[in-house]
Amino acid sequence: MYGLVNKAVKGLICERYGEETWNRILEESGVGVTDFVAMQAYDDKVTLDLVATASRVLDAPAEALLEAFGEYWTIYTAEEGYGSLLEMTGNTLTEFLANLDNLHTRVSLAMPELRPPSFEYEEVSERLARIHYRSEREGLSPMVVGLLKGLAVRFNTSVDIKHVEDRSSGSEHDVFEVRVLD
Amino acid sequence: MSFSLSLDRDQFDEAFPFFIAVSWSGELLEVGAGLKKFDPLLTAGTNLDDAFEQIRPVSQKLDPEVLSRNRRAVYMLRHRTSGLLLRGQVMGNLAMPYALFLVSPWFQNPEEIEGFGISLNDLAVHDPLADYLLLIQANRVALQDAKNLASKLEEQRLELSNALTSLRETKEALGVRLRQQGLLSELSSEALQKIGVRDLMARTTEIVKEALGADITTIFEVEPGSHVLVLRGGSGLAEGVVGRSRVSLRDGRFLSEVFNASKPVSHNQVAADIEADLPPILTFHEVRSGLGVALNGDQGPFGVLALFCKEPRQFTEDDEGFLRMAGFIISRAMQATLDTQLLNDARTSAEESDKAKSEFLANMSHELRTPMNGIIGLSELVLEEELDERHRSYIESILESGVILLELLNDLLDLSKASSGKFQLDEFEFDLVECVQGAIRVVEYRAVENGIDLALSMAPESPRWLVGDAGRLRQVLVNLLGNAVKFTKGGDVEVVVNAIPSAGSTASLQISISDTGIGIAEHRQAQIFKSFVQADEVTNRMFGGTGLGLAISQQIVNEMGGVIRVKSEEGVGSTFSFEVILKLGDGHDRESSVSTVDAELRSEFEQKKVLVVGADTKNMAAALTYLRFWGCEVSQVSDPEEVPRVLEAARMAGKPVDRVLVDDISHQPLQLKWIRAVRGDPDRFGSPGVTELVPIGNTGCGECERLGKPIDVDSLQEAVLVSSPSNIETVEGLGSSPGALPVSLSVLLVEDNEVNIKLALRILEKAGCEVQVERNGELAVEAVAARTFDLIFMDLRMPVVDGLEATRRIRALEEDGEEHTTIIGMTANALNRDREMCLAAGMDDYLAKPVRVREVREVLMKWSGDLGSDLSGSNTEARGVSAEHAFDIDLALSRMEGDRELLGIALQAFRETAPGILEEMREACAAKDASRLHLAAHSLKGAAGAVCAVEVEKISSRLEATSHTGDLDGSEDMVAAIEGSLSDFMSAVDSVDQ
Repeated sequence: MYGLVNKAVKGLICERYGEETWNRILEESGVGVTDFVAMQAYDDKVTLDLVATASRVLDAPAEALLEAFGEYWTIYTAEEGYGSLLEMTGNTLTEFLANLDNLHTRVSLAMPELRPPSFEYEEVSERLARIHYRSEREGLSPMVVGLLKGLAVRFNTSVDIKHVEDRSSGSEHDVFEVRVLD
Repeated sequence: MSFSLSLDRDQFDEAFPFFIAVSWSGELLEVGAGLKKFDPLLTAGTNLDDAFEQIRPVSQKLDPEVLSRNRRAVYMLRHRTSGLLLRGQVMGNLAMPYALFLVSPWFQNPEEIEGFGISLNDLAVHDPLADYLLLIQANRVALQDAKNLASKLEEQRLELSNALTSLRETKEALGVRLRQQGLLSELSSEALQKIGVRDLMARTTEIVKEALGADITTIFEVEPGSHVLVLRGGSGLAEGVVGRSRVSLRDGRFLSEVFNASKPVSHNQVAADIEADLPPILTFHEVRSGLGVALNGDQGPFGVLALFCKEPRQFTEDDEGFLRMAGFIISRAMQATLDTQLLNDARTSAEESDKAKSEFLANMSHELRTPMNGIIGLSELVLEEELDERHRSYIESILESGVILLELLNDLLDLSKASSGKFQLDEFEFDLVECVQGAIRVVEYRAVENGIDLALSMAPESPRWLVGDAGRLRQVLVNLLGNAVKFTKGGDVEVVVNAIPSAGSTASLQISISDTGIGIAEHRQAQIFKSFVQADEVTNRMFGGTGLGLAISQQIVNEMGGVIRVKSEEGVGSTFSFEVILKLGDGHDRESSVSTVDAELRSEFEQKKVLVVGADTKNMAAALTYLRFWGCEVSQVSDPEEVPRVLEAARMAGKPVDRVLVDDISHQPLQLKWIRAVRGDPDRFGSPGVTELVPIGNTGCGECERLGKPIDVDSLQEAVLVSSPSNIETVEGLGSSPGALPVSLSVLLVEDNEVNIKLALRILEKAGCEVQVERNGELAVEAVAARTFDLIFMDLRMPVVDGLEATRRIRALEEDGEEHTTIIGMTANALNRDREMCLAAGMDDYLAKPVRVREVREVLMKWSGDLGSDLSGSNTEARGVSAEHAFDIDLALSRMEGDRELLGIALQAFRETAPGILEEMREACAAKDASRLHLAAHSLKGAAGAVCAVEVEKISSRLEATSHTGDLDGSEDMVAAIEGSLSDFMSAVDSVDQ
């Protein structure tokens, strides 16, 4: 993961639980780093250890934390200067979701070590889309839910998100249904 | 399959959504869908230049020829109304009816997109603009990261730098604190408190100045009884100002403010003109700030400790804290030092006064001794003249008074020696029995006069030979006994002696002296050991005395490591006792006790049967103890009338009584009855010897043998074993007075005092000396250089050259070949130190002034012996035989009928017994006991005759004759002469032996 992600984790924890908690988590995680460089690729373990430690310290399930992180990610990236790019990526939630995979493709110029997930967009109807999520990494699907929720908030759109196919339950990949509500 | 490009308009739009087709005349023909969406006003016919500004190439015309020549140019157009940049290339040539701009939007930062409202979907999919923008954003993020990190780094650097600064400050503060702490400890150190006040202030002001970085530190102290602070000490001040700067405590200025404050007061307002607020001595130093604290003692503030700086200074709490602490410590120290100093002063002054008193006493005794010289010496001389009875008695009174005065002086001298720590105890082996008996003999006459029954009880097992200062011990005993006898009329005085051997070849000697005298009131008992104190004024008037005796005795016993104690009851009596630890003698048999008898004697004693009549007196009790200790068969009756019956029974039983011991018959005439009865019928009662215990001087009943009271063990042994003990007194007639002791020596008398010269001249001339007088040391040295003398009497203190220096010069002369001349120092200062000085200067002996006839003669006898055959005009009557001829071995052998072995035994016996007899003579002289002296002289005469000690025999014979008459005049001189002769004789025997 790029440092940007780890920074986002820090941002989330600091914002929700305060810097002291973050420092405690950082210390107890034993990752041996006090701050992250956004454009540096870190071992995935760093992020996973941080999340696991946060789960323990905050006494919250990792899934919940990941979902919260996904949601926070949309806010965080916008704040970190990607707002215009997010803006450019789509004027509506569906337009954005359709461009989501491209966005991950295009960013590889800037982040050559990125092993981005893919978000295949399948428009089922005007108000319903399916997101086919594929990743080398396992167990991050809750984060996708959070991400989708975050985007919905960004575009001020009420949605219903369903994790319709789960890789951990034997599916080939994860599929999320995003239904735009009125 | 061949490739033929066939794109419809939509496809072309998809690939190039921002294309622009322009006629060669510069009119827009068509624009792509994206561009159209962006600016709907771009319609056909619009002039390209009106809508777009060509940024690059800068001046290339829109011309087919030019374009065909330069197909690779990158074109940049700016949309004039929005400012949107379009970037791409232009296709066009002469064959084409228009130019085709294949361009797409170009942004240099992501934010621009938002303003132009372009989305990803507006761009061709292949357009990498979004990718670039993401890259740019990534760069920006990275840059931001770098900036953040850099600023964080800077922050941390600052923090670190701040931390370092604060660390450095802390360290410095700590250093200052430590230094201050160290200085505070120095201030409070004992060492500092032991120095004098002046040094203390100097050091403390120095310390405070250093610790607080001040320029000046001062200590002001209130002048006693005033309201003025006086500068007592300071650091950084000009020289000589201490003691001169004075500040009123009522002026309300800085120092008085400090004095009256409970906390440190600082003065750091430069503008407030500190100069006007300070004494001139400080303003002279141009100080600009100050901090002071009051010095507090037990009675409130007594001074001010203040520091001053030449720069304005804001004093910190730490500064105040330090000064406060320093002030506290200094106050304590100053108080303590003052206290100590006061104490020391008091002690020093007390010691000095005591020393002065002692020295005064010593000087007085010294000064008094000089006129005594005249009184005693001249009285003695006058007494040797023909005088009528009246004059003789006057002169005798003068002499007696002089002697008493001399004793008093000796007491004073002793006391002053003790007070000035000059008491030195000798350590010689001595006979305990002899020591105690000697003391008793001094007082026994007076005891008789006072009707006292004087008794001595020595524990028989007590070791007899001890090591210590027998003279001093005897002095104590004489003193205590003297008091006991003095304050008792018609009662008992008992001396109890017990020596108990203890660990490490020492013995605890316990002596007590009890009397049945007037006693001492309890409240006076603690005081009687003090100098000049007597039990009360009445006692003083009644009994006289100096009041020094007990003080001196106590001093002596103290020096020996003991204490004299007193138990007394008024009207009942007193007991003085003391205990000292002495070493056991090793020159004699350790086992020898005061009443040890050897095996042979013991078997004799065991065969003796003794009857003791009445054992109710102390002396009889003591006799009984000894007799039993020796193994005698002792029986006892209390009723004299029983005696004949007991004697008869013993006789009948075949074990008659050898000796009957009875106390002083003069007090019990009934005793005579049985004595006479027994004497009259030896067949019935046997022939027991009867021994009567009588006090000294008592003639007894005249019908039996007498034994002196108190009993001494040796006499008792004799009384029991020998039928006629040697100490039985006999009454004989008076003899003639003694003659002079004519020793003709050439004597140099060196003396500046005319009275002393007159006296010494008479003594020496009477002794047959030829005397030359010189009046100072220098003249004496000249005299010695001019001729030879046998003896020189040298005064110590003389004008021009004193006696010590003169002696040294004479000795120096002798090194150049002169013969050794005996030099006798004379001084009225009778301290031992003088003796040492005399000997150190090269003198041979020492004579205390006032010079006594006896002492001068003793010295003459003693030292003329060393002159040997050089004796000029030797007078053999007294002392004519030189040492070499003192022993005529041939004569002695002829007396022993040529038996050398027998002579050896006789000489050995003489060697052992003679010194004892001589000592007995001295004691007798001291005790003025003519009969004892007579007996001693008699026995020495006999002993000396046996071994042909001619001189000893001769003088002893004369002494025997004179003492027989009761005349003791000159007897001391004769004893001294005997001593000299005896010594010569022994030397001669030794030389013959070799």
